[in-house]
Amino acid sequence: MRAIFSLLYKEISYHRVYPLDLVSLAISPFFIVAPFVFVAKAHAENLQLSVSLGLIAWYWLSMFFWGVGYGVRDEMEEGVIESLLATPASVIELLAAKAIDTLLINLYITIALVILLWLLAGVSFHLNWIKFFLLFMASNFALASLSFVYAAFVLVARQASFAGNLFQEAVGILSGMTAPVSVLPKAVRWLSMLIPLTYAIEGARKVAVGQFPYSEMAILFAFGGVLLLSGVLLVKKAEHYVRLTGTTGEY
Amino acid sequence: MIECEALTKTYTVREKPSFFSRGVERKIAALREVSFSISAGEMVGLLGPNGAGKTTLLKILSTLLVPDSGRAAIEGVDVLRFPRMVRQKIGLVLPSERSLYWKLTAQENLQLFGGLYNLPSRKARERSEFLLKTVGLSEFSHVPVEKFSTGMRKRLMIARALLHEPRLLILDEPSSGLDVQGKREIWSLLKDLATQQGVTLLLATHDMEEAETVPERLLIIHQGKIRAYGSPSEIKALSGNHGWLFIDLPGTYSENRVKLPKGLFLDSIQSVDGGSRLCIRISSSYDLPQLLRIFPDATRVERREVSLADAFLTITGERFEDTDTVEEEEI
Repeated sequence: MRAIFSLLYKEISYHRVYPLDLVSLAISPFFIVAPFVFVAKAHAENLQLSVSLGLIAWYWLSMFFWGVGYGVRDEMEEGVIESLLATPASVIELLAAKAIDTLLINLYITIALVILLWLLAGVSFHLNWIKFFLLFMASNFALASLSFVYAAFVLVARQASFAGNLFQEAVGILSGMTAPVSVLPKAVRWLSMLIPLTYAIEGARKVAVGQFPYSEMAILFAFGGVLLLSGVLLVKKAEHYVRLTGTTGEY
Repeated sequence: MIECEALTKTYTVREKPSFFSRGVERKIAALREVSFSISAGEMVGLLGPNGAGKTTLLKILSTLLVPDSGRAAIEGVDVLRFPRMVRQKIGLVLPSERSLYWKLTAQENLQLFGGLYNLPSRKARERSEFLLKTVGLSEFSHVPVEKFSTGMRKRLMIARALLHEPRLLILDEPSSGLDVQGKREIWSLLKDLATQQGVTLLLATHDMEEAETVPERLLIIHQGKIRAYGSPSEIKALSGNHGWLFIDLPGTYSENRVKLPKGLFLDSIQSVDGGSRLCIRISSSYDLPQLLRIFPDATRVERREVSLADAFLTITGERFEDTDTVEEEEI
């Protein structure tokens, strides 16, 4: 745990070093989300909240992919990965610290997006915020676990940005980011069921209509558990592979 | 302290990979059945040209790399079976100054790595302050590393490697990229650490001056094999080369005209400076009075000691410069 807290402190220190990045993280998601929200508004006023929640949840996934999935590569680029691997701390602890940091960033982005969408796009977030926060935690657990699996892939492939972008876009569409899963072609709907983001978005939309998303949260925790276990095993295998091939310092 | 038995490591590289082909696979042997042992408290230099296998060996000992075969142990702990335990026993100084977080301060870097070595926060802070003082950086503890000179970064890397009080310090080219003054500061620091704190040092270098200054004993590594092991003077003696004599003569001489008694000198003789000077490689049985009887008109005789680079040349049969290690085989 001491290693995780030390690494988390490092991540937070880097936000202090680059304060403008924090400003950008608060503002730039709005410009990505806003066009979809305005299109929704043009068609039906009540669609705005549904689309906003879908896009906010998709942003969580995106942040985990970049923060945790590419976490090891970031340390490789910095030049410190071999120093880290030479300590008793593991790659899993490094990724765990990045996952906690990303969770905090996601909370920050979500608050900023809700305020900006309300102020600039007129979206009314009539939500039970406690229910929404619980769903946020369940979703972030599942998505962080998914990003561990992706981190194992990046550790071996190193340059995997193309796959990351493709995967995020595809997952966004399949999980009902803008339009509900029910409008997707039947042939691909089964894929949606295999993506944790689908349940995060569905759960958020349930919270918006006053329901508690019990089943979605249960599925998200189950996904999170299985993916975390798989991710940890895959990262360990990938770590052994890079120690075997001598590519620890390469990216 | 360190025991290695038949360590072997081969890298696989692909040449000219393209979208349609995975390219030609080549095997590069970096270490070939390397065996040696180092006792606690020793200062040992691993000397060899670039590509000799030094870094590969250090990476295996520090658990960054898994060997193909063989065994290595630090204080009796197997590096393959118990890597975490081994990491707690060693401090590693890598050659790249980028191996620090440049945006963090010196103190923050040490505090972070203290946590990674499982030191309680208070102890990490105390050790950081002590080590920053030891390496002469206490005035700069709150300065970001990006503002440091190369020498300061190297010293900080040594401080970081000592945070958890390891008994073994592994250093890969610790003075690379430094000027003469910077190198001497690092060498003096390393010697102090070894003598005052009893830390065992294993230092890889291709710098002859560093190899003669810091370590007590040298491991000569070449093309993935250990070629010699001993103190710098033992290595020089082992090479069978005992130095040169330069004899100034009136007029010009050709080396072909001079016949040296067998057994007195080695057979290497060369005329230099347009024939006005002879250079003779001498053996241990060299005898100056007898030499002067052969060259009664010599105006000046100068003896030049054999250098470590000369000894290296004799032992490995190659010049001390960058060489590719390795035999390649297409698969």
